Amino acid sequence: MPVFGDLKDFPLVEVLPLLAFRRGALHVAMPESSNVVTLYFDQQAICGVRAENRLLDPLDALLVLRKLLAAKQGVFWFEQDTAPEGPAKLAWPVEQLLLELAKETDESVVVSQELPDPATRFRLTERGKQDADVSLSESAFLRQAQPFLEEGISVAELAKALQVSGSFLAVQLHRLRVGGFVEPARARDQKPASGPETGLLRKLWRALTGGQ
Amino acid sequence: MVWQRLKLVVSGPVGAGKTTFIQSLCDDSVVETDEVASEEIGKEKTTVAMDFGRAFFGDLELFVFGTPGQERFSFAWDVLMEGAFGLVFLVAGDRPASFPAARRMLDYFVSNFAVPVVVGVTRQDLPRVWASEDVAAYLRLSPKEVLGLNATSRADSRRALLRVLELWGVGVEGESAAEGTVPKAPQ
Repeated sequence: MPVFGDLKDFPLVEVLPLLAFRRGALHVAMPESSNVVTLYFDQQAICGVRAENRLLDPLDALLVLRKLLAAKQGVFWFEQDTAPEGPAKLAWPVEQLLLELAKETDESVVVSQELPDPATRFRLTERGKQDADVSLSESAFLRQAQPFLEEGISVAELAKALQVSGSFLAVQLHRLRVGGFVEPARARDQKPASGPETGLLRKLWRALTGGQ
Repeated sequence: MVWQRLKLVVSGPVGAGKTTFIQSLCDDSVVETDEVASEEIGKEKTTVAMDFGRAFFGDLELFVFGTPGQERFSFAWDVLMEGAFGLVFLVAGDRPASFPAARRMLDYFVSNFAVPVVVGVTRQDLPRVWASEDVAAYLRLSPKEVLGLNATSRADSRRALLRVLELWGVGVEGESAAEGTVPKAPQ
């Protein structure tokens, strides 16, 4: 089954993590260019970037990737198990590349529907607890927010606690999330539901499965 | 007969198939609050308040509530989730444009309600549709929390319901559903 979409509402920075553990080719066609750019994935790395009918050198590949990152128009689709013709010119770990891309993601690129709801609760990931590989500005923000994010806190509550605007905070959390430093907290992990209705679920299970 | 009741909520962005899913799952006629859409959303009508249906299993009655998909009706989500034992969250697999909005909604539910959530990737009968494992990767959920389905299929809607129960630990090996931990549905 294909992975496909439109960069207008599904930016590249969201597509790359999906393909990190896959082998194949991500094709991106942008309206202003007659050429299709192809990113090749293998062993959790981008092993090649193809444009204008050739595999690009690292510097050209990076420039093309930056252009793709900023693109707000274009379509993409993934082809499983497609490898570049010729020897791989790159070996960029997708995770590391994502961190770089996340640092470069500015507010103009982030569309509002990607930003979290003010009531969504976030917490630190293991990487967030280590505070490694974060850019300087995000590191400062993360250190300030860390005590609140240990237990999980909503965007609105954190904005109030840090005395910053909710929209600024939403963008910061979005960047940190793309970089894998924070994630939505799971209420189920933190506060198990309570109630008196026991056995009903088993009853429902038996009814659905014919009493197995 | 004394009815025992459970409550399930079905949510997801506009056009994911919530109303259809509830119609497939439920035994009686579903209460719909569909109105003509006031903006271009890819279909003529949309749910503006909620959907409601019931499914019967002996003396067990399952209340199924569907939330409106548009975020401006989000005030209704909290009310509808009260007392629910699980959430089936639908996304249209052929519309990746709706995934960011779906993730925004889902994050809200997952971080605020301590119940199992199963994501159903609908429209699996279409030739060009995202697979459930790819949607799971995008939403950063485990594959067991996401399944592909067709909202028109009664068997698929029941499969989603079974998956919610499995996430409670019911019906799986070494069943561990804790006694007394299921929210009480409103009487």
